[in-house]
Amino acid sequence: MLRKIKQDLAEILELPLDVSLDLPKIVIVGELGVLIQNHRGLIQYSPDRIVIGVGSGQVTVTGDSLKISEVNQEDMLVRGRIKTVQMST
Amino acid sequence: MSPARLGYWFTGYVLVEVRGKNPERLVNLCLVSGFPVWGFSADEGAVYFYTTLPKYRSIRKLARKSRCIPRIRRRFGLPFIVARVKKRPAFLLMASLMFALFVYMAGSTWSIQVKGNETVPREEILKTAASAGLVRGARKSDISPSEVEAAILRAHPELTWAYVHFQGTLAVIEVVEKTRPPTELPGDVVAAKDGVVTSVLVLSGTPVVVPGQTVRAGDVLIRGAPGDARNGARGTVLARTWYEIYREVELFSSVPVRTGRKLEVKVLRYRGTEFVLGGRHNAFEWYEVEDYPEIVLFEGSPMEISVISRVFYETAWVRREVTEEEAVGLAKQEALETIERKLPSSVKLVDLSCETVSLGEGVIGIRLVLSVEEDIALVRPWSGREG
Repeated sequence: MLRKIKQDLAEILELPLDVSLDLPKIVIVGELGVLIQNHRGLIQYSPDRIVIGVGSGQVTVTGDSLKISEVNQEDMLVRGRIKTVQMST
Repeated sequence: MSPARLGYWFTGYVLVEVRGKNPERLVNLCLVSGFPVWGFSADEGAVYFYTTLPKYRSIRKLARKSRCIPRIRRRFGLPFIVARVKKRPAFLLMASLMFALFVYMAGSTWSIQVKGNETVPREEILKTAASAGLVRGARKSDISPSEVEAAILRAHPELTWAYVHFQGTLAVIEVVEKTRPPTELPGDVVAAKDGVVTSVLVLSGTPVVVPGQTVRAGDVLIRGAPGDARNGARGTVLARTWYEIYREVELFSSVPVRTGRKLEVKVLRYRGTEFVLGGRHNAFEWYEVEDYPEIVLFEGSPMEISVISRVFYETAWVRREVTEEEAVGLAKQEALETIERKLPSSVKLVDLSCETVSLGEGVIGIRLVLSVEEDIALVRPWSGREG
């Protein structure tokens, strides 16, 4: 309910939803990389599968030779040969 | 390498291998603690990442918390290089010696080049330079280029200018030799070519021709006084002379006309060297090319960099009829250019007459007669009876 109110308020005030609702923002660069902003940490890491925690669930990236080239408390940049990016809540 | 990574190189950074039940937890703890970690990769049961040397100790504490075992796999940066060098004093000594030797050798003269001499032997110039201190192996700081230049000019009066400079370990001696005017022996002034005399200016001697007189090549124009070497004839004799030029001209010409097809390439130009960046290379047999500058950096400086759009326009040769007047005009233009090239600028064109001869279909012969006024005076030295 509170989330719905927040969402409506953000839409009325034309605020970015990812900022106002603390949602992850995912940018996919073809099959070369995935940038996940506003993440909650690494859950599982192997060369073919990376699971990243986000506010309301987790993002699973599968592919080959996956590497986390840049990471800080806000952003995580995954590089490699990306096959799928899946969001689950 | 980013500036931050360059900073890490100075403080040192390491590649850490983390094995254990939950290496991901260690990664999260590092992120929460704000440690600089980057370049993650995973292997069978292990996670690898880079971190700075000062933070590695703190990471070990976090590893205990996450039940992982961190190990340094590789070391990078200045502290590790310094540590390695400290362990090898002989290497450090040899490197220092090599550097000192390099600096010493770079300060010496290893070869000497002489430029601009034609009659003065190179060995003579080198011998004089050596007497002023410029020899192979001499220290550059001990050589005074101005003293060497002065010594060379003193020792070789046939030189008018000398310049000594260094290009690295090469000493360059540039010289310019004196150009002496040709020695003119006394004699009579004779006609260099056939013509009709228009004016005579006598500087020395007795004129034997008058304006209006026709002379042939070799005729005496001004006579000197034989018996006295100082009394050779000198003067200027202007005469009207004629030149005949014959040309055969076709009454059509081929002119290039653009077909509309074109190709474009991008070219990077830096210090006179061009690199093709992209686009199709020229594939036309006949073409015109035009350059359109797109980006110019540091314009006017020696470091100028420009990106040029080079367009090749395909052309085709189209036959074009030429009228007789145009052909004569072109032939006249060509004749005047030929005369200007061949004769000195003092020659004045007085008259130009033209005669055309038809030689058949599409070809005419053009005979041009140029009448000019020029100095035909030529000193012919007396031989066998000089004073």
